[in-house]
Amino acid sequence: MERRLVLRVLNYWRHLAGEKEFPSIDEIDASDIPEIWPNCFLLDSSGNPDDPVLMDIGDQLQKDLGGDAKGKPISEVINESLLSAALGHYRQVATKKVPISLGGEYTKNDGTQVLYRSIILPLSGDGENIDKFFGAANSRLVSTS
Amino acid sequence: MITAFELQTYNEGKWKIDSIFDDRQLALFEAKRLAESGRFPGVRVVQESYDAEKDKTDFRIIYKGSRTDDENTKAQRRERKVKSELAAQRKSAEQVTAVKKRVAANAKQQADSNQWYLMLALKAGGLGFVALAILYALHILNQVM
Repeated sequence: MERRLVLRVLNYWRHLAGEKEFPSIDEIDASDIPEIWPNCFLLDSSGNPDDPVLMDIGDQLQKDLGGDAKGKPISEVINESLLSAALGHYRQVATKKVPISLGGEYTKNDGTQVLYRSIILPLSGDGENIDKFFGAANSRLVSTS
Repeated sequence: MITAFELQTYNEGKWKIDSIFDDRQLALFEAKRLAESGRFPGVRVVQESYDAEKDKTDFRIIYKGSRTDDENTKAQRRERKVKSELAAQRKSAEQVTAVKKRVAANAKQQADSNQWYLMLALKAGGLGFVALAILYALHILNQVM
C-alpha cells in the first residue's frame, strides 16, 4: 500500500503542531499540501462526538463516494467506500489523542476487493480537548490475477 | 493475533505514545525519522501483540533510537581526538624542550671553557708579572749591595 501519503500527512501535522501537543483546524491549509489534499478530509466532533460532521473532503474521496458528503454526519456516509473504511477508527484517536494509521481491505458494492491505508490525526482548538480530526486515505484494487 | 506498533517518545523523564500504526514498516520509518530529527532524547517502537485465544498481550521493543546515545558517541569521538592532539602537542613540546636543553648545555659548556682559558691567561700573566717583579727587585738589591 501507499505509505507515503500517511508519512506526508503525519509530517505536515507535526510541522503545524510544532512545540504544541496538537495543531488546530485553523492551521490546516489545503494549499500547503495540494498534491495530497484530494485524499484528505476534516471532521468536526464538537457538536456531536458520536457522529462527527465532514467539514471538508478531498476530490478523490468525494469521487469514490459518488456524491457530495461535505457537511453531512459520518453516519450518512455510505458503507463500502474508502472514506467509510478510513473513518472506522476516529473514536480510538479521540480516546488516545494520538495519530493512528490503519490499513485493511473492504469489498465494494460491485464486489471488487480494495486495499486501503488511512490515518486520522487529532486537532484541538484549545490545545487540550480534541474537537476536530484531520484524516487521509488512499486505496488500490486487489489484483485478482 | 492482533498486532499494533506504538511509536513512543521520551521527554522530561517519561515515555509517551506519539502515534500508533498497524504497519511495522511505517512505524519503523517514522521512528527513525523522529530519532534523526533530534527533537526527542529518545524514540522507540513497541510491538503490542494480542492473542485473543489466550487473552494475553505481549510487548516487545523492536526499535530504540536515542539522541543521547548519538551525542555520547560524538562526545567520545571528540574526546579521543582532543586527547590525541594533546598527546601530539606534548610530544612536540618535549622534543623542543630537549633541543633547548641541549643548546643551553652546549652554550654553558662553551662559556665555561672560555672562562677557564681567560682565568688561565690571567694566572699566567699574573705569575709572569710576579716573576718580573722579583727579578727587578733582585737586580735592585744586587746594585745596592
